[in-house]
Amino acid sequence: MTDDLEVLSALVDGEPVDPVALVAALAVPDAARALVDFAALRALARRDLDEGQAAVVDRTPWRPAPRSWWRVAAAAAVLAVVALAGYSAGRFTGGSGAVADRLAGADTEEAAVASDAAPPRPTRVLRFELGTEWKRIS
Amino acid sequence: MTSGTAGDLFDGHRAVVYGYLRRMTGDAALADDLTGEVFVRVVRGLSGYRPQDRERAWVLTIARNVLLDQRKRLRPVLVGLDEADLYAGTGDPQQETRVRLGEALAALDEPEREAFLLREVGGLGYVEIGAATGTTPDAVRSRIFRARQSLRVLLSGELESARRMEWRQDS
Repeated sequence: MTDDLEVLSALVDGEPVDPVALVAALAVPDAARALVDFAALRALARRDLDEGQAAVVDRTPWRPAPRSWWRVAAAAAVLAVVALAGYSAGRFTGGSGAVADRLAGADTEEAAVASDAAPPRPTRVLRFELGTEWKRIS
Repeated sequence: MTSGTAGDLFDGHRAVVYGYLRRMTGDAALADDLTGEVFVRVVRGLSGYRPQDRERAWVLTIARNVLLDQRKRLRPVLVGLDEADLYAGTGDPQQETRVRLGEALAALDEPEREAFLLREVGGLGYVEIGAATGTTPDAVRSRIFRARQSLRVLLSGELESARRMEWRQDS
């Protein structure tokens, strides 16, 4: 009897079986119940796998989305535009004052420092006054 | 190989690999670690992949080897304790079914448990399971049958519920 039901187990798995052995197996009183149980075991195992799959998804660390060429191209284009805008802004400062000055609302002294049309004004002035360190030599 | 990248391989087979390892070890955390190790080996072994092999069978063979190597390093972990501790007595039928399935699988002889899992979780055929485990398709057939017969006894209550669920789906 046990060997007969083994044919049914193989049949459920889609494996080749001997037709004569299959006839004998189907004649076993427990055959129908065995077939149903084999299918039910499969359903249990598959459900267990699905529930385990959900656990895998929960545990899986964040993976970056697959890179697509258009995403890379778009990012490169944005960077190029930003760089060009920054370069152009730095070039076209004009007599009305530096772009930095207009954007930040800086005062004229800082604007003069930022402008490349004239030499930068000194940012530090050293004053030497007559004192103990200096003596007028006449 | 049907998968285009290592990421495709991971996405296509990780759940099955994890499911197989989880039920072979009885330890979800260990299965997690081993699953990662499996795919490291998969990526490293891509050059050795033979196109005539089915991708799933190849990956599960690697998973089996990872498991065997792990057992050489450590003594076997007790089976089913984590889920039993978590879910026993919770009153959640699905979780308790998972616990009993884990316990029933743990009660099987390892060759039978492995053959059953490679078939039902991995979807491998008898020839593929035989190649992965170093045995013949006839031996695989016998192991799977014995596993099913044992599980029929150990899970009689759950099988009754499963049969009723299937009937509800059909109606």
